[in-house]
Amino acid sequence: MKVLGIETSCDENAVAVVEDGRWILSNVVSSQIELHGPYGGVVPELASRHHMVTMLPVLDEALQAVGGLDAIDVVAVTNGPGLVGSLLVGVQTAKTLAWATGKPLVAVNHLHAHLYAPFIGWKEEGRYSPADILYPNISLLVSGGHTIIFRSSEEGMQVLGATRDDAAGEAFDKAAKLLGLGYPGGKVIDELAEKGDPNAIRFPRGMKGKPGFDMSFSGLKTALSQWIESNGVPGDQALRDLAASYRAAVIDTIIIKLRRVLERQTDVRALVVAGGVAANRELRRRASELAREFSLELMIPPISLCTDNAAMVAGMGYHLARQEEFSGLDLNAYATSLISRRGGQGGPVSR
Amino acid sequence: MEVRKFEIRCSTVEDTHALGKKMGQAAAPGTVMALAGPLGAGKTHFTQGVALGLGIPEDEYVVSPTFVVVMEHHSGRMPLYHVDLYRLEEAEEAGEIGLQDMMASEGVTVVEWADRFPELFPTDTIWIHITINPDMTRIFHIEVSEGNSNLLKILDNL
Repeated sequence: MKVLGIETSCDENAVAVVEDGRWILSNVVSSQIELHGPYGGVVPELASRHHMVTMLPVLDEALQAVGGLDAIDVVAVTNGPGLVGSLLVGVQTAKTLAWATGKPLVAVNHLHAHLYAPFIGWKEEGRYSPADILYPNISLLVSGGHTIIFRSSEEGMQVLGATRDDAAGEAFDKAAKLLGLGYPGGKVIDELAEKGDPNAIRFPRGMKGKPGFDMSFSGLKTALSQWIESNGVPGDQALRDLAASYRAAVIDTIIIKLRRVLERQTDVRALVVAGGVAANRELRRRASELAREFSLELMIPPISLCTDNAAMVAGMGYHLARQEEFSGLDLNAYATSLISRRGGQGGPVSR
Repeated sequence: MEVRKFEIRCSTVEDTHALGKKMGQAAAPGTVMALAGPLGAGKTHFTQGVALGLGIPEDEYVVSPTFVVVMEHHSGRMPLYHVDLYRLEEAEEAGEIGLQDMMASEGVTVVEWADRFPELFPTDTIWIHITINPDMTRIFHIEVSEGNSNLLKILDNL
């Protein structure tokens, strides 16, 4: 079964074709980071306008690799959470394709799609080969908009803990802004931090002392702006030390809660790390240490599948199609993540 | 329209939550709260309090909308539209995210970084400027128009 995936929830306009929920046949991403660079973030109107311009060329390119629309069995699209204006461009495109071709339509939750990224890959040698789905697992989704720890199993995806305020990626972006560095902030800080001393400045680890698995990054942001107020923005080695100390605090905050989860969820078999911040080198090191300590398989998709892409949407869409969870042409986009500990949403192989 | 001004000190995050909660409880359909203040002032924490005051359960995550710009919460006694103008560069972009529609709705709209585009807000908007003292306590400078008797009663008794 070949599934066409469409993803326009935020920065990226992406279209992909994935076979049997596993093999990537094409994966096209048109990023807007360059466009957004001067603004230090995502500008919604620019985002949706850009999606309208790039949607059809990106779609054409993705379909070319499989010989056109006839080869497609199912159309899958992200319908939330995200920027509604941007999401609608993808949803509208998917509905039009489904209506014109009579092929079934499935709606994919953007967050769940991210957690599915390790399970897709390429047949070509030398490229990332998809991992086998291993349940139950603990999945960390960490990006500019989200920082959530899930338990994924046959029964679905359950939120165990999440940030109470800012996302980890947002903590990096806002720090980069305070320091006058570029966008995306996570990458800039990660690079500086590699050559800095993480113990130079002691920043708080949000909610470390509180029970449960929730996290907080807003106190850290306040601590940084206070530090800058009294010391100014440093340069050279002092800046690298500051970046390393800040990065250590962000990653520690996550690892502390992840460890707490793993100590209690003793039946899990794998640790999945997904989302844009999975590119962070310190997080990769610390997650790999954790996985070793708890004898878990560590699954981190390659960077190209960590950031927003449509292959993960097509992969997830395959399972929804198998379960016949089809959507009508009245499908709408939604902004809210609806994350709450009450009520889980079905996982890829639930039911 | 006559405007009354209040200054309320919050020493802790719990104080900020409590203030937001009282204002959420007093909020009528169509209420718009415009928040201003530096990074880390407590705008998101205040909004969490408003959510509690609207009866949105504590286990629903009300988090920073900076990245996604708008978050909607529909589990309270009326919808809460949580908006962040931090990333917007021009006032016209507010149209794209549907800000005017939210403010004209029967829900409560709380807008972070509202002072970036003050011209967007109706005259009866509740303006809340947050300042941080050197001792890290926060002062909430609240401006409420005379017509909003429900909220004035609450603020007079704080």
